[in-house]
Formats: sequence, C-alpha cells, structure tokens
Amino acid sequence: MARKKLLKRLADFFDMDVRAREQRKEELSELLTRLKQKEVSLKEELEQEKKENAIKKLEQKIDVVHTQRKKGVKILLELRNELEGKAS
Amino acid sequence: MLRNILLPSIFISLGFGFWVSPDFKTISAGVAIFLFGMLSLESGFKVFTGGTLEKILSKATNNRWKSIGFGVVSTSVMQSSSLVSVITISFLSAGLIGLYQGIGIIFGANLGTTTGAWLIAGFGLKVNISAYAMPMLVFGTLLIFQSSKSLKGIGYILAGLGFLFLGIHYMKEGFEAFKDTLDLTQFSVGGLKGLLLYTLIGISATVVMQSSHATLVLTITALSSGQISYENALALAIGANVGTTITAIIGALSSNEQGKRLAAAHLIFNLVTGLVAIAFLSQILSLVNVISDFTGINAEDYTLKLAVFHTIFNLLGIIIMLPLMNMMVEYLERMFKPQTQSRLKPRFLHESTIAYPDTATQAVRNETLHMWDNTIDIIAHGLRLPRSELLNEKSNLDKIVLDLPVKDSFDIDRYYELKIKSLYSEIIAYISRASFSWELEQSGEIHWLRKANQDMVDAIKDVKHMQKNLAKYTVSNNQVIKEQYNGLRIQIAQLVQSLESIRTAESSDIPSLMIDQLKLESDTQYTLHNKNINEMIRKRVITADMAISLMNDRAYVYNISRKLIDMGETLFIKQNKGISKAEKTLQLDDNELKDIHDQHQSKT
Repeated sequence: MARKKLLKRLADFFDMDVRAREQRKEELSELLTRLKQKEVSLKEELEQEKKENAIKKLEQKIDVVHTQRKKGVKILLELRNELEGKAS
Repeated sequence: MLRNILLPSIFISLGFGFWVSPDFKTISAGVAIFLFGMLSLESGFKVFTGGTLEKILSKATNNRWKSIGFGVVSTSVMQSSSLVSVITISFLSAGLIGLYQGIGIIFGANLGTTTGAWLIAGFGLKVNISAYAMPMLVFGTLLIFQSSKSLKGIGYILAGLGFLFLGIHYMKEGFEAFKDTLDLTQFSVGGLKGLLLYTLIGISATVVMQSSHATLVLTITALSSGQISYENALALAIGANVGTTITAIIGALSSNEQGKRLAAAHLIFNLVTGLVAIAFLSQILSLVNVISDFTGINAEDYTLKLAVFHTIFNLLGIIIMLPLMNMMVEYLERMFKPQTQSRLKPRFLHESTIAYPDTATQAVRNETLHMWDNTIDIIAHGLRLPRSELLNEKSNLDKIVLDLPVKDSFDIDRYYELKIKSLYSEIIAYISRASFSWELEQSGEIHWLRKANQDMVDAIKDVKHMQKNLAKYTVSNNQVIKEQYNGLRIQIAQLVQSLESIRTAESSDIPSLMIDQLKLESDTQYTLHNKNINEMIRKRVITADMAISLMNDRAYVYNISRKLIDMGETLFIKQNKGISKAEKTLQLDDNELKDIHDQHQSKT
C-alpha cells in the first residue's frame, strides 16, 4: 500500500468526524437492508391477503417502509458524497 | 439528645488536648487537613460522574469478576472506599446496576482500599511527602479557579491529593515530636483483650472521621514512630475496616431497598472479614512474615508489614465471601423487601442519585417506565380488559370485549390519585430538585422524559372521560353502538400491545418503523370512523345522542393514541440508547406521514 494512502487512513482514523460519519453510513446501510427485507415480506403478505381492511392496512404499512427507505437512501447518498469530498 | 452532647464534648476534649499538648494539636491538624483533602478529592471525582463514570461502569460491571476489578481500580484511583460505596449505592438505587454487580464492586473496593496502606507505608513515610504537597496545592488551586468544569475537577483532585500529603506530613511530625514527651506504648494492651479493645478504638475512630483511610494513616504514622505496638496497630486496621461501613449505611438510609441491601452486604463482608482476621490472627501473621521474607521486606519494617496484613485479610474476605455471594443476595432480598404502600412511592428516585446527572436521568427514565406500567394497569381497568389479556397479542379481544362489558364501578379517580398522580408529582419534584445546568446533555433528555409523563397523564384523563359512555354503551341493546364502543376498546388495547412489543423489543420489526405505522394507523382510523358515524346517522342506525357521544369519545381515543404514541416515541426510541442514531433519523415527520395518509384517502 502506498505510503500516502496509509497516512490518509491513519489521519481518517484520528478524525473523529469522519469516523462518526463512517459509522453512521454503516448503520444506515444495514438498516436499509432490513427495511428492504421488511418491504418485500409485506408485499408477499399483501399478495396472499383477501380481506379489504387488511389489504388497506398492509398497503399503508408498505408505503411507510418505502418512504423511510427513500429518506434513508437520500441521507446515505449525501453521506457518501460528503465522505468522498473529504477524501479527494 | 446524644447528638446534642456529642459535638460539644468532642470540642471540649479536643480543646483541652490542644492546651495540654502542642504535638497533639499538630496530629489533630494533620487529621483535619487529611479529611479536608478527602472532601476535595470527592468534589473532584464528582465532576467526572456526569457521564464518564457511568459509561465506564456500564461496561465494566457486566460480570462478577469485572465488578470486583472495577471496585479495586476505582478505589485505588480515588483512594476512598467510602466514596465508591456511596456512588455504588446511588447507581444501584437508580437501577443502573444490579445487586450482584453492586456487591462485586464493594468486595473489590475493600481490596482497592488496601493500596492506601501501601502508598503511605511504602512511599509516604520514606520521602518528604510535604515537598510534593506544596506544588500540588498551588497548581490545584489555580485550576479550581478555571471556568472549565474538567479543569476545575482536576484542580480539586490535585488540591485534594496535596492536602492528603500535607495531612500525612503533619501527623508524622506530630507523632515524631510526641514520642519525646509522651510514650503512648505504655498504654498498649496485649493479648485478646488488647486486640478487641483496639479493634473497638479503630471502629470508633473511623465512625467519627468517616474515613478508614484517615484511621489507617494515623495508625501507620503512629506505628512508624513507635507510639503504638505492632499488634495494636493490626487491631486498629481491623477496626477501621469494620468502621468504614458507616458511610455506606448513612448513604443507604435515604435509599431504596436495593441500597439498603448493598449497605448490609458491605457490613456483613467487613464484619466477617474482621472476625476471621481476629480469629486467625496468628496464622495470618505467619503468612505476613512468609510474604515479607519472600518480597524482601525487613522483619522490623512494621509499617509495610501492616500493609501486607491489610491486603491479606481483605483478600481472605473476598475468598471466603465470594462462594457465599448467592446465599447472601437471597438472604438480603428476604431481609429488605420493597415497601408496599397504598399511595405509590417512586422506585428509583432517591436523594442518593440526585447529585449525578447521568444517574439521575437514568433514574427518571426508569421511573417513567414504572409510570408506563401503572398506565397500562389503569387503561386495563378502565377498558375492563384483564391486564394479561390486554398484553397478550394472541388473545381474542373480540370475544373478551363481548364477555366483559365495561362497568361503572371502577373508581378511576381514586386509582389515578394513588398510582399515577403521586408518582407523577414525585417525578416532577425530583426533576426540579436535580441541579441540572442547561448546557448539560441530560437536561434535554429530562425535558423529553417529563413530556412523556405528561402524555401518559393526559391519556389517562381521556380514558377517564370515556368511562361513563363505555359503561353505558357496551351493555346497550343497540348492537351498532355496542360494536362501535367495543371497537374503541380493541383499538386502544392493540395500541398498548404494539407499544409494549416495541418496549420489550420482542418484535422483529424495526421500532421506529412501528411507531410511524402506529401514527398513520391512528390518523386513518380517525378519518374512517368519522365517515362511518356520518353513514350511521344517515341510515338512522344510531340516535343523534349516540352519535354525539361516539364522536366525542372517538376524539378521546384519537388523543389517547397520539399521546401514548408520542410517549412511546420518546421513551422507547428517542431516549433509548439501544436504538441507533440512523434509525432515529429515518423516522417520518408529520408532513411525510400526512402525504401518505392523504394519498390513501384519495384512493378510497
């Protein structure tokens, strides 16, 4: 590994702000995966459901998960851009 | 009465002593300076209990050995087992740690305190300790005047250490001069009688000074100048160990049953250790000699041998008591039971926790959870749903509400007075007594916790408002209105179930997602119900009176839902350190939820 790269990694390690953002990014990615799994399982449930009331409830739940995911993806992209901006 | 006589008597005897002997005055001044140093040291360490100590504590006490280790290290650093035991009692009372961990810390503190004897005997007497004290006092005082809290804390610790050293110096000087005028060894008593007498003196001196450290320093300095015999010094050390429990006992007086259990454990440990030391003194002394020979301690160096003795008998105490820990916990739990009162008392709010912001915040959080538990009770009674059924997600609520119509006989006002109002007022009073400075992170948390309590009280008041109509319409002959009111009961019950599954983290769902879904569902149901009421009026299946009652009670249910969801959001998500920051940021705001709600309404 180039010395420059190694030094940069070392500097990042001591940069609390970068480390906090990295950690947040990881947490967010993991959460988004869980939300996606949840959305898929709710959609499968919806396909099986016959009762009108239950269908409405499930559709609403799916919309909440989807909106949370959209929000999360937006934050994640912003975080990635910020981190890449710092790196360059 | 005794207290009124005691202080003047001490003043008079000390005054007489000062008049008779200037050396006695020097020794007493040394003790006073030493004790003042301990106070300063305590003030310094308290600055760092606003989060740092609690964070270390939560990581360092998750098993028995770690707890003991924490006790050893913290007491060695703070040089005060009393301070460690008092802080441990406050943590235990606030529910930050359990009794096992608490006892572990106390065991460790007893071993940690022995480092003091080593420091004094090995270092304090061998060098000119006052030379170190002077710069410490100067730098410490300078730091105390700084505005930064951490620097101030370091200043108090430094000045405290300076005073400790200065105190030791004066005690040493006093005893050195004393031996030229008066030989105290002529008062030494040999045999078992002497052992018991000096143990009692050690206990009394420690109770009066509230510091075993001070007694030990006094003993070691007197021993080094040959003013007391080695045997009597050992007895004084045993006495100091027993006497030191007084601080924990005083600290536990204002604490709950957990604090009292810990203070009792401290007393049992130190008493047993003391008795073992007295019973096996000759064997322990032989061991001291063996260890001293092995480590190269001079046979005549009684001060260092005293430090060895002090360490051995405390270590012995741990070895003896550790296997009996489970039995001790069981016994203490039987001895000190939680008080059952008609007017509910707080479980976690105690004077002993108020001085430490993080501990106090945790205490308020735990008490708010206690309040939530009572809120569930009152809702269960108000809706006439057995608590076990209300909390069981698998229970058949449709059937239960039909089998158990609401009765007017439940005195919700009385229940509110006894179980909610008293607790709520105690929480508010505690918060106002806690001296939080507003720049502290904990103040924000406290604000939200107070709001969560207020939300619960508001929700209960709304349940109260619904009582009359619930009792009237759940037994009505009009099946439509009966169904509507039973539907309201089921809706609240399901909300409580969902909040409980978020609290207990039993569900595999993501908590913040569940809260958002609950919010949206509450809005949707409110809109849907209003539409249904219009339909029912139009079809004339309910009377106008019924419709008005239903509309009002529907609004109450909506308020109950929103208040409880807000409470859940605060208590189980925003103020829950177990929930990640990422999850908190993904929660939807009111506008985002409204968009989803409107989108669905336009579809139907």
